[in-house]
Amino acid sequence: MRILIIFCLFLLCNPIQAAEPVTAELLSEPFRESYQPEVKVSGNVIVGVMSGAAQAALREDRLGVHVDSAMAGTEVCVRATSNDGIYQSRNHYRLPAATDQAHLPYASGMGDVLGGFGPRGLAVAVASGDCETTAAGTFLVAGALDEDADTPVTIFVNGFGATDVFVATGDGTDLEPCEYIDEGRRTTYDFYCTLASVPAGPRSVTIVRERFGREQPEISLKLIGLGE
Amino acid sequence: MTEPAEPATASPFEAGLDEIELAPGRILTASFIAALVVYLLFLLSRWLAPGEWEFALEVETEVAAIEFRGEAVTQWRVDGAILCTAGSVTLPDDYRLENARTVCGGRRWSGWRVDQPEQVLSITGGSTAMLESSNGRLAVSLRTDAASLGEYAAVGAVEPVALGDSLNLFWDTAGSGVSLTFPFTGATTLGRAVNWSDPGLLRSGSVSVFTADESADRRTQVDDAELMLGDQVRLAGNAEDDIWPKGFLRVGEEGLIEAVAFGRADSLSIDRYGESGYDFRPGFLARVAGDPQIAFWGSMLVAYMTVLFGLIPFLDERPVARQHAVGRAPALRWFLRYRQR
Repeated sequence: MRILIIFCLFLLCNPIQAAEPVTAELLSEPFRESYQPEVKVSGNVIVGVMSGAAQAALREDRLGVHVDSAMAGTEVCVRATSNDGIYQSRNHYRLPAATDQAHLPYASGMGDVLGGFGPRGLAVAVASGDCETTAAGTFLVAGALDEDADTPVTIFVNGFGATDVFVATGDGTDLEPCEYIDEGRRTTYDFYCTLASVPAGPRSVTIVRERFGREQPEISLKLIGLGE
Repeated sequence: MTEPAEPATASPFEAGLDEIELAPGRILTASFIAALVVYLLFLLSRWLAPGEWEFALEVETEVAAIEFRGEAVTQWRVDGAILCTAGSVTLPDDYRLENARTVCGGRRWSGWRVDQPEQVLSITGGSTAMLESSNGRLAVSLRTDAASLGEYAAVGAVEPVALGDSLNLFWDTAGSGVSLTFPFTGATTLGRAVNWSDPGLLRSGSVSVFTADESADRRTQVDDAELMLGDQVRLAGNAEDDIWPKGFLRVGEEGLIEAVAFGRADSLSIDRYGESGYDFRPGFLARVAGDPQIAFWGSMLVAYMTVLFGLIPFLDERPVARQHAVGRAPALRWFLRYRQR
């Protein structure tokens, strides 16, 4: 009986904690970010794949992704790019084993800079592969830890002079128009596409661009949502 | 024993002076400092306040973008254009292009060419236009989030047709003798941020800043700047007060888009390659020199100071100095004589 009471007291003193997110290994040393007026525009059409909370999560070091069994242990590149191109970061991580939420430590020394961007002022992309190869076609939706899995996902697109940008899911026949960003500077991306939600399993998405009616090369990507 | 000398009789001027209660020196000093501080605070508030300036742009460019604002419908004459429409817009079959896919691009476009003069496009507010001129071809894309961006009509050939949410227009400008003028009201962006994939750039231009106050001649130029090849300049409006830039674009057979735009704003945004971009607004000296209120109250302050400095000799306790001061002030002398009567 005494043992039972002690066991009960032990349980009372140690309430069951929520599962802690597993932290990915940051491979970039030192942490690579820059804030420079000399803007360099990269050639990436897809600049960000993220939930609405990812921008704040970056600032608060609460950036999280869902890791499925296919992505477990692989390397990803986390890029953060401001709309005016002045702030850029590019860091390399190794994902942990499959988990509902993995924490990507974001050791920024520019919290004040990150706090100064507007709602669509900063794009975050977590792409498979290392940061030297930019041909990644798989993106993990960047979100905040403990974020709702069915939150809408925004894809930030550099149209490179496109007059129209569309997003298509599934077989690519049903095109949804993306929105042109008509506020502020648009140096690194000028369109954003919104998806209602993205499931944890890979989902095929196609970005279609038109320049005065003429179709530009399509961009196909696979998205891994925030969780089950 | 000598009798004490009688005191000298005070002159009428000195008697008058004694009757006047002049302000003590410290009140004079305090009012001097107070006036100066108030004026400096006024100067600071005018400098910090989001001032409004009238910007004038004159630019030669290969790309331009317009966001049409306001309730008014903008009309463009689009003679000789190839029209590419998306959706269910239908013009008379006589004008349908067989090679629409080649001319207009993707499958979703239908092509039309109406060989009639006086073709008019009526564009509703809220639509956006992007213009690009390159290799002797002018391309215009018009888009809206609403169901229709306006109407198209060709006098004597096509009755007004409601357009969908997308329309592309093309002209072959080289050697065609084409001369197009597109007026607009709305925010405008001239040029494009330089990048490796887009050849279209702003070629050259200038921006002038005028006072937006109700000054005597209405407009006084306070500053100007030259634009460089590759600059992108944006003249935004004031959404709160519903005040939007106005201007027009002109395209001739040489292919360049000549843009003239006027707008009232606090600043004008200029993005230059290799820089982070900046908001062009008149500098401190230009703002001060161009502000009629600062000039008016500055002259009032100078007048006030002159009066105060004029009173300083009267505060001198030595009668000779005060008398001398009165002697130099005909108006006061006249006033004292008047009181003597």
